[in-house]
Amino acid sequence: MAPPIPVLFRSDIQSKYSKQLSDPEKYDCQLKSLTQHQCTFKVTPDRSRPPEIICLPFKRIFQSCLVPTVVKENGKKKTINRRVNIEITDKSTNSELMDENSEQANVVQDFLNAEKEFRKLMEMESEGNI
Amino acid sequence: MKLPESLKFFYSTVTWTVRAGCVAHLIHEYVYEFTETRGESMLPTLQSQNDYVHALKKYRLGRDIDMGDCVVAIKPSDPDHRVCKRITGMPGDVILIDPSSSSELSNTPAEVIQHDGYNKYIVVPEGHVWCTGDNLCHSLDSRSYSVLPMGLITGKIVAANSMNKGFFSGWNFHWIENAFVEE
Repeated sequence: MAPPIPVLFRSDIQSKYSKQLSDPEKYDCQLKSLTQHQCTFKVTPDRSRPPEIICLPFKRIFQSCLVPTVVKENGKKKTINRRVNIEITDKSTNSELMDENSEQANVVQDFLNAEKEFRKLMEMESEGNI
Repeated sequence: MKLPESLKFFYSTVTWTVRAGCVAHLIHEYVYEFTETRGESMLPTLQSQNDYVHALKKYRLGRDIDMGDCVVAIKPSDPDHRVCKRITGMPGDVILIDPSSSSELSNTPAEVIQHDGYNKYIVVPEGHVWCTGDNLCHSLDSRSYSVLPMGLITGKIVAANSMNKGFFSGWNFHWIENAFVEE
């Protein structure tokens, strides 16, 4: 069973790690990213063919910084610099994808259409109409 | 007393079978595993069917795993099942719970505001990791069952084969890379 974990807000994080986020060089911060995906299925209503999978990237950005952390070693407390990934993903990180002039505009449109059809099909199935 | 030859042969067969079973178990548990994966949660990294993964067991219990690695773990909500996920938060990391819940691509404008996905953070506790499927739209992961105890990690996925791609393509052998890269 996972331990209870408090949910913090962006303002909490910005104040707790204000030193690292405002002066990244001092804390040896490295800007890193991790790209995952959002996928949907283009399904034919009669399901005669396997669904076509449409995936679009979803990027997350992190500042990987050295943060002074207190640890216990042989019963004694000491402060060490530990590398901590602080996520800084926000609304603008993936907004380029939704730009009408983006390279992937066609794929995005395909994704949105397929998602709409897929949801409709799922609703019909759950209502027992198919 | 001298045993008859047939009994000796039977005894020898049984002991060698048990020994071979023990060796296979030890290798499977502590060295290497080649196993099938199913489901849409790791698309497009792993197909929803016909994919087999190569997992190294030296990373079991989360030893030496890193942010961005793919792992096999016992499912916290059902110990009879295992999951393949990507590590998206290491102990001490400060991460958003689900930024994709406010993605404009898969949510309506009202949902984007309501979910407030870019505002809800957690700090991953010691001895635990945060793991998510590569297909954020169809994955049951830490966003549902919270942090994963590192003790449930059974190995790290280093490569995969797609068995429907044919022998001559090497069953589409491909390495599974760490996804946490310099920007």
